[in-house]
Amino acid sequence: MTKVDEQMKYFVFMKEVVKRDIKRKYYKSVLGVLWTVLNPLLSMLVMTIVFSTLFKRNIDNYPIYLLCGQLIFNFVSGASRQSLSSILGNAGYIRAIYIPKYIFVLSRVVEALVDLLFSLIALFLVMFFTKAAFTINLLMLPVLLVLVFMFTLGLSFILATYGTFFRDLHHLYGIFTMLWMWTSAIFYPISIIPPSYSFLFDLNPAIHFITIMRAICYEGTVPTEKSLIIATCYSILTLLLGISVFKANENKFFLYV
Amino acid sequence: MSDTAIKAENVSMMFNLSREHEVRIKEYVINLLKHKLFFDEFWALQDVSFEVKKGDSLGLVGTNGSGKTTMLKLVAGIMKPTKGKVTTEGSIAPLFAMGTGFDSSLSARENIFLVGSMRGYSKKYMQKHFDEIIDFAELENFVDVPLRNYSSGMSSRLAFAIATLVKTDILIADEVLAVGDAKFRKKSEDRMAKMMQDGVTILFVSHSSAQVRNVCKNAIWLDHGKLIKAGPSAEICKEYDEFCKK
Repeated sequence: MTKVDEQMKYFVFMKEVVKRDIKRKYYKSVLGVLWTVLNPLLSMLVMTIVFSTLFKRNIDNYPIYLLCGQLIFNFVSGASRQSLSSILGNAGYIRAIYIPKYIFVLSRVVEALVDLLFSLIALFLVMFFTKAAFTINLLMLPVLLVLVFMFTLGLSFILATYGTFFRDLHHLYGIFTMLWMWTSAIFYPISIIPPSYSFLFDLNPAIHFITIMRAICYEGTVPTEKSLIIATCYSILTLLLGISVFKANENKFFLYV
Repeated sequence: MSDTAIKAENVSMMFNLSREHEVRIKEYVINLLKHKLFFDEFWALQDVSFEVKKGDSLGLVGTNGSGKTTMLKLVAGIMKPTKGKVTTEGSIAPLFAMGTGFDSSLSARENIFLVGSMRGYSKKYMQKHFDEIIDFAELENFVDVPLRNYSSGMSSRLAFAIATLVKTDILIADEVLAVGDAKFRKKSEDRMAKMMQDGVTILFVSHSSAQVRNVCKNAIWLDHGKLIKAGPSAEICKEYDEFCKK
């Protein structure tokens, strides 16, 4: 058996885990998987009602503006938060059988991606009903999804590693994502950020992914080269860092689970 | 392809006991000042070497805490040795008493596919063995019951059936015959004998030296992490029994 075959056989396992977790999430709920579409729709509705009074004059078609930011950010924060406990949460398997540990992190990020894909249906529905333009640039969406997936996977590897060693991180990260959310220009226009602070916002990777998302789905334009280059750099560097941190520590996990 | 299935070369395993209990910041600082933090070492295994040929069976005997389960975990690949090397050839079916990767909220049917997938077998492949597994585990009436409602005997029967009925090259069995009634124990021993005829390599741990003698050709005796003696199982078990009586 070659090395690739060896790894491929664990993807069968990952598929089962992803299927099981998605099934469990909607277990016995009347609407089931429909919630993945309903959830972003309803929270968008709440936010629109709350914020339209504040920013209506600055942003037209606020629902789309909001959804673009929310979907991307929820994917990044949701997947990374799930990954924090991916090693501890699968202690039962880790103690019982050999499975490459990255499978547990990857499966959580894939689950979040499945959620995101369903949520895109909600976005397209809102775009349709608000008569937003469906342009050819929507074909760029897969590029963005690949970039944001790579970034999130890298981040998740780092969090999964340190979340296993330091359980305090689980509490800290909740607070951190709150701060991160409010500094990612999801609810407000980027233009209200004072220029003297804009460099801080440029450091925030989420903003670049959201900017690309908005270019594609909200403005209907091609994302700027600058935003694409920055996003690609963030994705590749985070993924490489994540893989190296995870690889250096994965053999120590069984001492902590 | 060599004819060796499992090879352990000068294997040592160290656990850091100071890491095993919960560390608070206060304790951490105190230990750091006392230079104690990284020195609470415990060697579960020290310089153990052995080799198992394909189709052979090796039993591990020893008192509680002698390092038997640690050795099995190293062979299964669940842990990596601190020093030395463990090499295995072929697919491994691990069967540990303390957990087999079951998900207690899922039914036997779903668990069979889940555990199968952990070892890389597709749903289609497991489907072929499905009836055989349920039949062997005597769970016909409980196929769709969640495992949390199973008795410990029922779930260990299921674990044994999955591990032994699906194709494997190496079987790692840790105290698996301790549970289950006498009838099932007899059935399990027969099943393991049949596997050996089919060329499966077996690594077997039990407190009962009579079982080790029944199942295994060779045995090694571990005590406090050190290899005391290796040889034919009848001989080793006899010496171990005498040691225990003292």
